[in-house]
Amino acid sequence: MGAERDNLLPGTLDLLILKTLERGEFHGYDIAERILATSDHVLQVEEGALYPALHRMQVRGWLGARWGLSDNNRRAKFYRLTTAGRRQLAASRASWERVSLAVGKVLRAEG
Amino acid sequence: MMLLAKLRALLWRRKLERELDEELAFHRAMLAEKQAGTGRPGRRFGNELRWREATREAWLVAWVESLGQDLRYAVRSLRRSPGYAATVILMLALGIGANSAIFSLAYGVLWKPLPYPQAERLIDLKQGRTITDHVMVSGWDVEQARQVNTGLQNWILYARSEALATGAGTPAVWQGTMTEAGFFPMLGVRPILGRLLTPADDRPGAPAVVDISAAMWRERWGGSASVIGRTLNLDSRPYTIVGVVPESFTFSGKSNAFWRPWQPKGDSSSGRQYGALARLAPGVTLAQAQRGLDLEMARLAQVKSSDKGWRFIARPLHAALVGDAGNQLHLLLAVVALVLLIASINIACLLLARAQRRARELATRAALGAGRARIARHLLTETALLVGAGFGASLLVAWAGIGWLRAAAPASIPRLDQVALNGPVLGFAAGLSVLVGLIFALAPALRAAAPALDTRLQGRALGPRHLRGRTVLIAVQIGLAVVLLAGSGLLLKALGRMMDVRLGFNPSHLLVFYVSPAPARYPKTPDLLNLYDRVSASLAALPGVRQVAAASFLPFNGNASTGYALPNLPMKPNDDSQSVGINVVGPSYFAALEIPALTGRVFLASDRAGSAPVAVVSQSVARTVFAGKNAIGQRIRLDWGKDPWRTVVGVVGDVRSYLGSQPMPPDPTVYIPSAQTDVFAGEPFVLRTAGDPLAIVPAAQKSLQNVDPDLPLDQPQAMAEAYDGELVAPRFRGVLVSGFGLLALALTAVGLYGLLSYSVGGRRAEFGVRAALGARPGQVMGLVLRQASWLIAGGALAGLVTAWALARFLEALLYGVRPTDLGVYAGAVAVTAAVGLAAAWGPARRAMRVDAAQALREG
Repeated sequence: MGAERDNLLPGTLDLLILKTLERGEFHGYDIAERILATSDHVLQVEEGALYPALHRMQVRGWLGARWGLSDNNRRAKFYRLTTAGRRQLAASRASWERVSLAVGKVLRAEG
Repeated sequence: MMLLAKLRALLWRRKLERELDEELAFHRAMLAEKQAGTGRPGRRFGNELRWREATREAWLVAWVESLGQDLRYAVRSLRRSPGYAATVILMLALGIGANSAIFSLAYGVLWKPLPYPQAERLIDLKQGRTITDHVMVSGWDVEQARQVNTGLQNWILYARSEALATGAGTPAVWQGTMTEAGFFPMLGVRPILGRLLTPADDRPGAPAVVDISAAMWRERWGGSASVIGRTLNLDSRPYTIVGVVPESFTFSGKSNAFWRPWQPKGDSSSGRQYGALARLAPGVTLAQAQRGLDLEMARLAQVKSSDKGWRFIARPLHAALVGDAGNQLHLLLAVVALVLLIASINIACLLLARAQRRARELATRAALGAGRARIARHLLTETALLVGAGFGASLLVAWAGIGWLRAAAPASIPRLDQVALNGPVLGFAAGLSVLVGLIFALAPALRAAAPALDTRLQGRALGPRHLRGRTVLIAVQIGLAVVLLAGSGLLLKALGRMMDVRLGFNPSHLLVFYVSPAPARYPKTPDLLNLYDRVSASLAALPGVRQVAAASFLPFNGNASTGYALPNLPMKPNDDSQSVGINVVGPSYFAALEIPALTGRVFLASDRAGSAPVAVVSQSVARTVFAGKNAIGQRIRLDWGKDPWRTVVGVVGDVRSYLGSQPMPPDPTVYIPSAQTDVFAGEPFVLRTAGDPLAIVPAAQKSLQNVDPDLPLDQPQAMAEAYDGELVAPRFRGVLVSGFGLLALALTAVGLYGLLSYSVGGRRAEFGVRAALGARPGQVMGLVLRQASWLIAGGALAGLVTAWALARFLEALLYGVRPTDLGVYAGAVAVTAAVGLAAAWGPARRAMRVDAAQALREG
């Protein structure tokens, strides 16, 4: 089963990142691994998409960041949700569910 | 934190890049570990460059977007308070603009380097007996000094030259320079047309060539290139015109029309009448060159006794050209900086007031989640917008100011043509704007960004406690205004003293002009005297001419002094302590100038060659030389050619021939009749006219030409104008400083008014309570006025002390006024207090009118 690489829209990626960070602080590599694992290895996030998204969301104030030590004692940048980010997560999630419901309706329509 | 994130992107881009690298390295390391663990081959890391770019763009786009947002918000909020915005911009424009204009004056005159190559090594040479006493140099001394190694090379001697120019339109006397021909190559000047003098033109037998000024070129030859090769006759000698000197070369003065080559003869008796320039030899300092010159002069003094006590004075050319202007300009710079300080205090108060007024609005925003830094950022943008607009407006003010300065500045200020709105001035204005902007952006922004939410939201009025900072600032303003007013007062009083000086003659209705007969036609003194007699008669016959006289020296047109001897006091030829002023005058001189004859008589037509030699002395001569004895009948002999013993026949009133920078007693002067001497330069004529002196010039010119068709009437000037010329510089100073003083006073009044209005507004509840408890309106008004009075008194006292301490720096500019003149200080304080109380009147009346019930309801 091939990993879906190029089909993730940027908005969707943001949503996934925000959701992943709901549970705590993680660095970039961890975020990608969690998304991979949680999606049963379907959604593989490339570094080329991940880091621009992380930085963009940090600039917009949805994520905060700090430098810390990883599990294996290496310096890494940890991201976390801000208040604005939590609001954005709720909004994006609602929007995504609305859209996917609508898409599903169109796909299930006969004729 | 968005502000911090943005700041990082702006200022620490490299740090960002490094962090990005570190993130990537970490990610790669983790990947490598994972792949090492699973044994799968590694994926390519992707097009790193592209997404680095994408990341960078994310930062940039966000920054630009938020900047646009901030600007729009700032413009909106400023438009809601147009009065505030306009006031701040106006104050910035005036303060920064005035400073830029004065800076351009100081830069062009004092600081801008001369446009000659290696100009800092060009030396101007004068001679003097003390370090402050500068006169021209003696040709002989220079001839000796240049042959010795004094550390100076490329000596150039030059002198003023006047010549009757014919062959180029109407004959007239031109002012020019005669110089050794290395003059232009040393200064590195380039001609507009043709070529400039070179050392080759100095060789014996070289053809006579001359360079003319661009102004003369345009006036006489219409700027045509055909002027090269034409012949110009100077004093009846032909010269070929070989080049035109550009207008930007102002070293020889604006009215210099020609430069011709010349070899000074340098005999040991030639007086000190030349200018000299030289260059420092490579590796030599000015101090070393001065020492070399001192050694040489000491040697020369042993050979030539009249050189005893004299030394060469070497100064950098720049310092020689600038001269005394530095003093005045430093004064103006200080004054205008104080004005900016005062304006800045007003702006600061306005910003603080606005921040306090918006505290409620900002507190609400903070409660709704806008970060402290975000609010601070908005305020910063607003201030930046105001400062930017202020900077733009200040350029207009500076441009207008520079235009006015160039027109109104006295001609005695050198290098005025260098004063312009150029690069350094723009840079100065920009730098000042940034500085002001930074200072004023930080203060209110920091305050507003940390609001105490509860106090503001409850809308309670702010008491006087909150105004302490601003009160101190206003007091400082008042002090500065007092300082400036005191300075203006001192300068204006000095100007008044100068204008009050008794000249000893009547300068109105007097026309002065020069008559320059061609030496070839009038080779001997009797011929000259004959000519002047005919000219005088012809001029006296003109309607509207009351008196005609000729003299060697006229007031404000030069003077001379020479040694004298008395029957029991021998002449001391080289000792200047035994000297008097001398003037060789025609018989109607005293009548023309209306110099009162005190005792005895003045010259008559009978005082001619062959009759008894006579002299007339001024009152101070009678007092000092003759020690109070009756001067009439005394004998005196002057060191003036072969002058005989003369008998004093009259005493006249003292005449001042110049004003100087400090009051001085008039020069004692001995007058001798022009008919009784051989040494008579006799060029200036003076006419007393019935009406406007200058109106008679055309008739006088024709009258001269009736006597001799080739006799031009040169440099006509009303004596009143020459006298006024002495007053131009002090008047310029006085006007400028007073103007700034008044501006400062106005700004201070505005500041005080604003502060008191704000204070009264905040104390409405208090006034309402007082009124309700029975206070009379007058008492309430008195409260406010008392508060204002304390403020004014405190500020004025501080200002008085400061002015007292600083006044001694003005000493050189104060003619006849002591820097500690109590009257001026008292006046400055009185004016400031009056204006301050006037400014307090409005708010005081408003306090008086507070309606008790309404105020209590509001509070």
